[in-house]
Amino acid sequence: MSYLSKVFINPRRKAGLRYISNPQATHAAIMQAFPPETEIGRPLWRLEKEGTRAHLLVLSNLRPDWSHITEEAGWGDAEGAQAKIASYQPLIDLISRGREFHFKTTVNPVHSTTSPQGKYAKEAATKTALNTPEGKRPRGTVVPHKTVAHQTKWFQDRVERWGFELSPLNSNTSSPAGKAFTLTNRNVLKFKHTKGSQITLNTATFEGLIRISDPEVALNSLLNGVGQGKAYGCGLITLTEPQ
Amino acid sequence: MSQQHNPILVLRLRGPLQSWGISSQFNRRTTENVPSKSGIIGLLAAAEGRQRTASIDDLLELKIGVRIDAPGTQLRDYHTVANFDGSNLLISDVNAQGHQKRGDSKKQTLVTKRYYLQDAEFIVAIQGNEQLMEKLAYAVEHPRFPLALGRRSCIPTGRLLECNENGQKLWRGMSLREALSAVNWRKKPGVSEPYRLPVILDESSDSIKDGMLDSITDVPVSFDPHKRGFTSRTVRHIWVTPPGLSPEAEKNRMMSDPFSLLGAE
Repeated sequence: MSYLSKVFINPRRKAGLRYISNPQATHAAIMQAFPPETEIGRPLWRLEKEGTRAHLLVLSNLRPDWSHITEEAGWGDAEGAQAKIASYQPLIDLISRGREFHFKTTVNPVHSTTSPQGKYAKEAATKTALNTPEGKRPRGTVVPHKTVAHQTKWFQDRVERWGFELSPLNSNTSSPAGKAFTLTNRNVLKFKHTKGSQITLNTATFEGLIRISDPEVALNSLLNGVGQGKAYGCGLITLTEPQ
Repeated sequence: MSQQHNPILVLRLRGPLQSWGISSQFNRRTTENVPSKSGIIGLLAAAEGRQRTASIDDLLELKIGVRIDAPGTQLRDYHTVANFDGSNLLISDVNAQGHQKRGDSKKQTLVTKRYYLQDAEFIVAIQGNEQLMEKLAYAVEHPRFPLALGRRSCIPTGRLLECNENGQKLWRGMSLREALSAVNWRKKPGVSEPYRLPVILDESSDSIKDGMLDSITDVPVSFDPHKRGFTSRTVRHIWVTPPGLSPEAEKNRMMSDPFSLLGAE
């Protein structure tokens, strides 16, 4: 059983601001929505900003309790729902081959290379020296895609592996790549890990039309997320009715 | 309230480059992000064929409003100044006879900074008395001097005058704010569609008690090279959603709610 939640975040409160700016804090708070010693698995989430408003979308395999977030980063005693929880089953039932959806996802496009450039070269050299036994092929270094072209290509190349295909262009929609999807937002997130190390994530948000090509693989991508950075708000694909 | 019903002249300012300086000095010529009142009055005076020394008192009584249809981006031009014969440039220092001296031989060429707005588009609404507006509407269509968008090198593209839906040159029976909300927004290729447009409106300074007011020093006293000077005016910042924009489409895109397929809670 899976649940989708929407938790409204008040940007005028200190804790609210922390959730908006620090994915590490958000991740920790989301993990606290489930009781100990339960199979939490890996909740997927995404922070959505609309003008000055913000909310969290969270997909989890257990029913969560958001009161700890709404208490410190919500609207206190104000009227109205501060969080919304719905079963994901109705959507799961809709997943069938050839069905078309409007999608939105924020991902962390990265690739692995054995010949990294710039600051990654030094890092790779140290790692290789420390971890590679004699005669073994060294593991690649994970390097982010930083340009629009690279991020778009990364997405296009992987969509099929995730069980989807990009819908062909129709008359109502347009995008530069000749496919009915667009890169709507790009971000570089920089924040501190609890252990003190600096984390940098290059994220990209894609929106558009996709069609289910392999229902089993697609369902796995929807429930378990895609790509890297899942703890930090990347990899959740949400589907809505195409307009 | 008679000002309310004065006729309005609407201009569409667009061109590859525009440059609206209000505080530029010496070799650094900057541009504001919106057309200045001095720039617009200068354009109207040029259209009428007034000399620089002519009076502009009647034009100073005009009320103007500017709508930003496309903000454009700033461009810095690499611009040099040199004497065509290779002699040294004149400097600000003078000799005993009061003539300007020539500079150091090493400085035969001077680099100056000139800023432009590229791909910007503005709607300017000008309100004034009947007789003057009739004259100005005719003059903009039949200019005596070449018209420019803030600087002589910035040539306007297309027709400057924007007629109302009945094809008349003057917009009647409405306020500046209403006129600026009524002029069509035109989509430009490659520009993402906003859902509202910023407007800067002349405001009388006695309405200062409600907020969103601002002061801009761009009202010319005279264009006479020997009597130049500027005073300030009070402006109000508002937003309008003119025809041509589709705020609903934008809203729908933003509101695509992942709960829509999950049924009732």
